[in-house]
Amino acid sequence: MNDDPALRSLLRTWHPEPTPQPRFQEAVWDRIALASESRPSRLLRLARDWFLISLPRPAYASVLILACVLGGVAVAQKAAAKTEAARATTLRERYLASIDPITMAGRDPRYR
Amino acid sequence: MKKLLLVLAAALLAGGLACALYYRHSVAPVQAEDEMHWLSREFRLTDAQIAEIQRLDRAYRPVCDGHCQDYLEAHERLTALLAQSPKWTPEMAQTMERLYRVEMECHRDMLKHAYEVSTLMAPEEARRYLAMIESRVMLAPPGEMVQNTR
Repeated sequence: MNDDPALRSLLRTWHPEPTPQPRFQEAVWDRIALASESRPSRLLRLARDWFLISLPRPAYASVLILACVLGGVAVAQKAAAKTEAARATTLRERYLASIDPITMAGRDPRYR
Repeated sequence: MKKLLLVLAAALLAGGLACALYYRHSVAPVQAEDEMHWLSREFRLTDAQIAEIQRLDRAYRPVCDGHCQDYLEAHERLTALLAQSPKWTPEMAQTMERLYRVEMECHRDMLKHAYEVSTLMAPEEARRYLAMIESRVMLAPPGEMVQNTR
């Protein structure tokens, strides 16, 4: 089968010209540059690329938005708890002042 | 880049909106609360208990106002005496004793009122309520000084 002259002559005439991948050279240079970079700067570069290229993709963007919503709720929860605690303190003081004659006297302008 | 900025803006907006809405939802409903509502919420009181406490409060009000008036008068008198004379006088001592006596009476009646109020509460809530009142009274200057000056 290997000695098939027809096949051999056909193979001689075959000159494949593969089309290069888009941005093939750029990608090769990028990989060379990446390999020669130090580890911290490579990480920085990867992070930057992820931020600029991957983040705007719908999947990552949705996760970011969801994370921001959850973060916003967490911040609001903390702020609401703080407000609630401050209000409880104020109301407790107001109640105590309402049954404490000395505090009432202390609020009288004559006392000052 | 434009898409990235859009995503970042959307994320910030969503986060801010979530924060504002959640805060508004959790804080707004109790904004107009007064001290009786607070007492009812803090010590898990029923409407009947609150009504009874309000009745006790109304009965205590003239006593509280009277003590407040007495305390102010004694304080004013002592301040005037201290300002008038460069020497210590027996009248100053008497006025000071009166001031502390009024103070002790204030604390006594306040505690008495608090104990009456606490009888209307559930045992655990009553303990918490009395602890709050007692810590308030203990923070004030000691009334025992009246006895020590005699």
